[in-house]
Amino acid sequence: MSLAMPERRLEKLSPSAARHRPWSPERGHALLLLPPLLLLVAFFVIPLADVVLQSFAGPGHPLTQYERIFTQSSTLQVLLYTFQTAATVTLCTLVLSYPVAFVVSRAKGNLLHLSLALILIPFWTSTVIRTYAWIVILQRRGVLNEMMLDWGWIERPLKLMSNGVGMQIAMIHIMLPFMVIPLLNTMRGIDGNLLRAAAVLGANPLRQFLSVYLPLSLPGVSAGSILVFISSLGFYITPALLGGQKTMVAVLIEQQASRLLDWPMASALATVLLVVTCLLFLLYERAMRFARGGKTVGEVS
Amino acid sequence: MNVHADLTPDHKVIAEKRGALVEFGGVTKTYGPVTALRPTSLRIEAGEFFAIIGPSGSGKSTLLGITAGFIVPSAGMIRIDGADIVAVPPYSRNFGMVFQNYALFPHMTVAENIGFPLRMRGVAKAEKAERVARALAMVRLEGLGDRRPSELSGGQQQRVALARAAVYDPLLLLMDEPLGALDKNLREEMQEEIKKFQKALGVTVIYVTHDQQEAAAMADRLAIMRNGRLEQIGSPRELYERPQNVFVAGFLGEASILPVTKTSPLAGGFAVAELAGGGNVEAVASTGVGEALCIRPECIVVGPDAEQTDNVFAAQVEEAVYANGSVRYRLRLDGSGHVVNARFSTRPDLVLMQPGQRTKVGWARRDGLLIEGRPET
Ligand SMILES: Nc1ncnc2c1ncn2[C@@H]1O[C@H](COP(=O)(O)OP(=O)(O)OP(=O)(O)O)[C@@H](O)[C@H]1O
Ligand SMILES: [Mg+2]
Repeated sequence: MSLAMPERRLEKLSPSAARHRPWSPERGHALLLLPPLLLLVAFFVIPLADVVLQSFAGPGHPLTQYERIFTQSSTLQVLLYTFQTAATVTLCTLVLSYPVAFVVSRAKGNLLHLSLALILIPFWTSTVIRTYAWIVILQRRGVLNEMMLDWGWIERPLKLMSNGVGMQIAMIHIMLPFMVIPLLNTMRGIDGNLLRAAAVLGANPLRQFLSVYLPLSLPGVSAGSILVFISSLGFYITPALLGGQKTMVAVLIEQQASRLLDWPMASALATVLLVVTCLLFLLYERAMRFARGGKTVGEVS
Repeated sequence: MNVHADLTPDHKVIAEKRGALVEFGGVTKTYGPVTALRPTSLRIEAGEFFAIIGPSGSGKSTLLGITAGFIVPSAGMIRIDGADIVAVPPYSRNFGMVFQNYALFPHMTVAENIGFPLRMRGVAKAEKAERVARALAMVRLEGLGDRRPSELSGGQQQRVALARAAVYDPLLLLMDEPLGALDKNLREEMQEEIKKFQKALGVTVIYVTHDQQEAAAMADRLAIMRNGRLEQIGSPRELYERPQNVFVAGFLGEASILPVTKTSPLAGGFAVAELAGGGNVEAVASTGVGEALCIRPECIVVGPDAEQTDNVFAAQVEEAVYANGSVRYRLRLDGSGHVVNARFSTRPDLVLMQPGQRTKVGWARRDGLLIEGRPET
């Protein structure tokens, strides 16, 4: 998944770009779009359409699979659990990332480069590897339990793997850069003079934060949150390796498709996930446009 | 938080007078090896319009930031009506400030921006609305209260910033190049407005600008700053007519600055000085014995009338430029080879001299000023 940076920040980074006419497909460059477009159609759009079509196939009337999903309590529970997990992961990631992004947004020079590297290096490491690393740390006789047993903090090893806690920890870890980077992007664009102005106008540090900094950082908060939430909904590797008795929807899809060979059901689940994701994204777009009042935030200065 | 409630009875009286007496005592700011502000002492009277001008990086914003409280001075004290405020955080100082880029809150409407300081002071809703409306009327922005700052022109934004800085009746208004981003016509209009506004409120103003004309037009007194130091403080006229050094003389308006070698005092505050390259001049020994001679262009007499002045030189016209009723001559003195600039107003029947023409130049000894510093060539 690409990092969906809010585009107006990019504009800010290159003031000269703003002066030129914005790039547009009409200007004879449309042909450049053709190869990726063909690739997308062949390997993404067509298979996706196939999945959607398959969800209506199978025995019974076309909506049989959807009826099954929304009437069987087991699938409903998986969906519910998926949303809960995604929400928890998003919230925890946000809480962990906000202060980090704040501090890094204030950093300069080498400290900034170092912090960015520390944020991005895990991001470039394979999710599978990081998930296995968490298994080593969190399993019953893993690094964490052994350490806490040695120090006498606990009597018996904690169960971190079977109840989904470990999965959430690993997912939070994997999702952190997706939250930190949009936050950082927004925070670096906040004019420090605004906080000084707020101070001179009578706002103490808490009120400076609540009335000025927080609202101005909201675009980053929502961009990061939506990114993390949507990614978490479809998370597969970590739940498959680290999940406990309860399954996330992506794992269920895989089970239906490759173990039970129930392709219509797998397709229907995938379609539900897709639709929900698209709806969420639309909602987010709407909310952002409403928040900006049709204008770009931070245009002044 | 209601700042007025914290004030002692003494302060209440001053609050009615609505201008603070500001005293700086040895205020200094260093950033590691960089000295942004050398020890600065200064007294600004209640209700005074005080301007600070100086080249980029001279420490103007630093001084203002220290006054506002978001820059902590390395040493020194600031007294407001006698009370030291260095330890008071910016949000308790009750000063107004207009930032160079206005620093309007982009996520708030104009009315919310202006109401912000009132909200921070816990002013009740009805009163807040009324005071915001009054402030909007004062800067002639009625009806624009619901707009976002991004929907306003530069001049309108500037007025919002001004209204926001003044809506809570601060004792002291700090302005950091508030007109820097505006075009010339709007600047002049806003200069008048700010001046009117300051007179009406009686507030003390410290006004930072790059623009010497703006400073001279608006300020009661002004200070010229260089390398973190106040070079000279005085009324615009004092600074123009009695600059103490070459930097001040060159920074404000035009001047011919000639290097001198030997000087010996005469009676009555005058001195005789030898120009580098030859020739003697008599001039005012304003700062004791100086190394340079400063003459303002309108004090130089060109042509036959020059014979009647105290310092007469033969010279050649190098350049003659006419503009809107006045003419500027660039003249090279015979012998020493120094260049002086003369300027005077013309009438339609006046015949202008041409480049290459020979003439006499001269000036009265009371118009020449011996000042400190070496002229740069
Ligand atoms: N945070 C800082 N760290 C290091 N040096 C600084 C810092 N802030 C300012 N300076 C230095 O202090 C000096 C004075 O800066 P200041 O901003 O007061 O200049 P100024 O007179 O306002 O200039 P301008 O007209 O360009 O706004 C400059 O040399 C600047 O480089
Ligand atoms: Mg400045």
